[in-house]
Amino acid sequence: MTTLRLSYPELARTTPEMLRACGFSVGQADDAAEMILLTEALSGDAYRYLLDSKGTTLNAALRPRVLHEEDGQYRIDGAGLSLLQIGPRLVDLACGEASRSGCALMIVSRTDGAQFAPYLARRAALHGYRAVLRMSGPGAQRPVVAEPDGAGRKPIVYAGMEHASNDGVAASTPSLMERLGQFLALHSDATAGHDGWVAIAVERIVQGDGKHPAPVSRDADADTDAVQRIDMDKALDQALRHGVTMEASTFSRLGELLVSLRVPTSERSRRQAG
Amino acid sequence: MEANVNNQQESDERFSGPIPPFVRDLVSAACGETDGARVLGALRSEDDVMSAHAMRAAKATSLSFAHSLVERMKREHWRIECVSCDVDANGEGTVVYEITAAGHQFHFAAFSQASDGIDRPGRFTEWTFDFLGILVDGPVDLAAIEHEREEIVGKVWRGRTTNLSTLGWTVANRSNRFYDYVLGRLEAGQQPELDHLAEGGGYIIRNAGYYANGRHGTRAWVSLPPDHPLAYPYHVDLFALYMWRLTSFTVVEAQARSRNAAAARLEPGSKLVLGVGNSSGLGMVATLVRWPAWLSAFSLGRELALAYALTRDAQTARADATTLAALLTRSARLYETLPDGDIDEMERHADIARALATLASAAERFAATGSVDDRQTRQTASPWRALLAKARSLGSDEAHGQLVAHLVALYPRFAAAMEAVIPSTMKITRQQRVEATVGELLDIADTRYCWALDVDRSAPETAMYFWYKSGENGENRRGERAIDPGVENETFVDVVGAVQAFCTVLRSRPRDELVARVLLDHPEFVHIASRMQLAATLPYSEIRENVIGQSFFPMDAIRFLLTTFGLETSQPVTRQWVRGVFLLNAVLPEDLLGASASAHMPQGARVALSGSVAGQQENER
Repeated sequence: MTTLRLSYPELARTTPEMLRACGFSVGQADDAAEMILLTEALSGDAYRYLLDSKGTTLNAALRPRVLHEEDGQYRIDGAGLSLLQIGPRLVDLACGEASRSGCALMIVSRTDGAQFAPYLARRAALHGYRAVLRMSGPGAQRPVVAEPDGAGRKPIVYAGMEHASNDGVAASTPSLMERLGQFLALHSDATAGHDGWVAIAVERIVQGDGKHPAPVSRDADADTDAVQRIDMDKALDQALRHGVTMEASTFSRLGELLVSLRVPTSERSRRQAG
Repeated sequence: MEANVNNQQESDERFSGPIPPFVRDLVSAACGETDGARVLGALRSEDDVMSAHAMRAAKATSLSFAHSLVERMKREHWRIECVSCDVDANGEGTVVYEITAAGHQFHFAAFSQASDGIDRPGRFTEWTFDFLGILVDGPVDLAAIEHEREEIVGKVWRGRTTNLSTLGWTVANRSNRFYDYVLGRLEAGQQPELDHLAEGGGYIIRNAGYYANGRHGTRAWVSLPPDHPLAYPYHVDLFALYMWRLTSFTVVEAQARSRNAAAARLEPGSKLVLGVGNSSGLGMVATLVRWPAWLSAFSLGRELALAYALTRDAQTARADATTLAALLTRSARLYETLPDGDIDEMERHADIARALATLASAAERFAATGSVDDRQTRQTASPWRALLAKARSLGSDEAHGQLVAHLVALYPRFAAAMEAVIPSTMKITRQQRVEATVGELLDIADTRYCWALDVDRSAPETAMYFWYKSGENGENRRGERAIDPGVENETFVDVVGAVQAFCTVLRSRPRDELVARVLLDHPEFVHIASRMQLAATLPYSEIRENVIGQSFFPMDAIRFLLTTFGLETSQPVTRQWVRGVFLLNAVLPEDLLGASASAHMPQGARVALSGSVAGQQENER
C-alpha cells in the first residue's frame, strides 16, 4: 500500500471543491470539509468515507424531515443521509433551541457517520453549549461529550461515561446524559430498527452557574476507564505541522472527484480566461 | 456655519458600519480614545469604498503588503547574499541566495533555463517556465535544493508530499526583448538606457505564479511562528517576487560575464528602475468574494489610516501640505509618462496627471494661505476632506485614489500601527450564530445588503456571466450563462443572487423562528446566512456590485487586489486581465544594510508612489 503525506492547507483548499462535486452547496461544502479534515486528522478514513458514500448517504437532493418538534425536542427522519451532510445543521438547530429552552433533545433516525460525532460535539461546544451525542453502531455505547472552555475557543471533547459517576466530567454532564437517556427511552421505536440513528442533547451553559467546566477533572490529558479524551486541537496542530497521511489510491480518487467539477476546455473557453 | 462647509461633502456623515472591538482598541492605543472615536467616525462609507469604480481607482498605500514587507526588511536590516551563482552563456544555471532576517535564516534557489526566445505569458495552464525558484526555511545544501526541485518538477499537479522546510516555490519568465537588450548592453560593457527600459514597462522578468501556504505540499503559513520574518500575510509571496527581481539582475549579469569577462554590471540606478512584471486575471475576483474577512482586512487598514489623516486639524495639515504637494507633483509627473491602454473605461493618464497637478497646486495654496479653494479666502477647517472633495469635483477617480494613498503616506506612524488590523481581521471566519432569528437576518439584510436587494435581476444581462474552473489546471474563467456549458459547476461569486433568494425564503417564515431551523430545510443558504452575519460585524466585507452582471468589469476588483499587494501602477489589457510591475524602486540588498536607496536614484526615474514621504519622520516635518 503506497501512502502520501499531504499538506493540510492543500487539503483544506481543495476539500470544499470535492464536496461541491458531490452536489453540496458552497456553505454546506465548507462545513463538511472542515468535518472531514478534522476527522481525518483525528482518526483517518474520513476521505475514504466520502468517496464510498457519494451518491448513497451523501445526496444533496435529499433533505431531512422534521417529524415532530415541541419545546426544544425534535424527532427527525434523516432520510438516509450521512451526518457529514446533515450533522452541522442538526447541531446548530439543537444549540439554537437550547438557547431558548435551556436544553434541546433530538433523535434522528435513518442516518450514519458515527466517526463525525466528535466534530459535531465540538461544534456545539464552539457555539458555547455542552453537548452529548449518542449513535447507533460500534460507538453507541461510548457517547461523545463536549464542553466549551471558559473562552469558548478550545472545547474539550471526550468519549465514554455511559453509566459513570461524576468522576472526570463536569458536574452537570451526567444529568444531561441522563436526560438524553430518558428521551431515548421515550422514543425507543426510533432506535429499534436496523437503520442508523443519532441522539443529540445540547444544554445552554449559564455564565457563573458554577458548572462552567472543569470537564476532565484531575488531569486534562489523562484518560480514565470511563473517559477517553479526544484532542482534536492537538490532531489539527499535528496535521498542520506534519501533513496528513493518505493512501495514494484514495488521493487519486479524490483527484478524479475534483476534476469532475471542472469544465472541459475549448478555444472559446480559453478566450474566457483572465 | 463656515463658508467652506460645501467643500467638505466628501464624508461629513459619521460612519454607520460595524467596527469590531479589537479594531477600536487598536485605534485607541494608537491615538487615544478621543481622537480614536473621531477617526472611527470619519471612516468613508462602504458604498463609496466598495463600489467597482472606487476599487478600480484604489492605489497602493504604505499598508500594501509589498510596502510593509520592504519596510520590515529595512527595519530589521535583512542580509541577502548570493552564495552560489553558476550561469552559462545561454543563461542556464543556478543561483542561490542566503537570507538572514531577525535571527532566522532561509534560502532562495533559482534555476534558470537557457533562453529559447519564446515569450511565455505565464498562464496558469502552462507547464514550462524560464525560471523555477524555491524558498526554503533554514540552512540547506545544494543537494537538498536539487532534490526539492526534482520533487516539484516531477509531481506538481499530480500530488506531492508535504515538506515542512519549503516555504514556497515560484515560477517566472523572461521578458525576452528587454532581457536581451540589457544582456547585450552589459556584454558590450554599457548600462541600459533607462528610458528604453521604461518603454518596456520597467522589468526584464515576469512573475508566473507563487505556490505556498500548503499548495503543492509547501508549508502552511499559519504554522510559521509569530516571530518568523515572513509570518505577516502575503510577505512570503511578495518576498519571492523581491527575489525574482534580484535573480533577474544576477542571472543577466552572470550570463553577460560568461560571454565577455569584461562585461559591465548593472549599476544600482539601473536596478532601481526595474521591477517584476505581473499579469493577473479572474481568479482574483473569485478570491475576493470567497474570503469576505480578507476583503474587509484589505480595506479597513487603509481606511483607518485615511480617516486619521482626514481628522487632522488645519494647523497639523498645513504643516504637512508642502510634503503632500511634492508627492502629488511627483505622481503627476509619473502619470504623464505612462502609456494609455485600449480600454475605453480607463481614464487617460494625461487627464490623471492634470488632475494631480491641480491638487498639488491646491495643497501648495493651502500651505501658503490656509485655504484649499482659490475662490475662498477663509481658512479651510478640514483641509484634507476639502482636497478629496476637490479631487472628486475634477472628475478623476484615479487622482482621487492617488490622493488617498498620499494622505495615508503623510502619517506613517499611525498607518504602521494599523498594520496589525490586517492579520487579525483576516483570521476572522464566517460562523453561524445559532441563536439568530429570521427577523435578525432580515434586519441585517435591510441595513447591510440594501445594495444587493436593490439590484433588479429581471433582465438577462443582470446575470449574464458565471465563473468556472477550467479543465486546464483549474484556471478561473468566465462563461456566458446563456451560451456556455458548465453553469452547473459555477464558482460562487453571486452574493446579490444569494441574498435575494435567501431573503425571499426568510420573508416566508415567522420572524422569531431560528435561522438554524430554516437552514435545516434550506441548506443551500448556509453560506449566505453566515456571510450576512459576518457583514453585521465587519465593515467593507463585500464588493457592492452585481458581479455576474454585464456591467461589472473584473478588472476593477483585480486592480484593487493588486494594489493591496503593492502594485503601484497597472494597466488592464482587457476588462478581465490586468498587467503591472511590482517593486519598482524597492530597496536593493545593499540598501538594507544602511545605504539609502534614494542615493542611487537616477534623475527623472519612475519612482514608487506609496512610500512614506521620502523617509522623512512625521515629527521632522
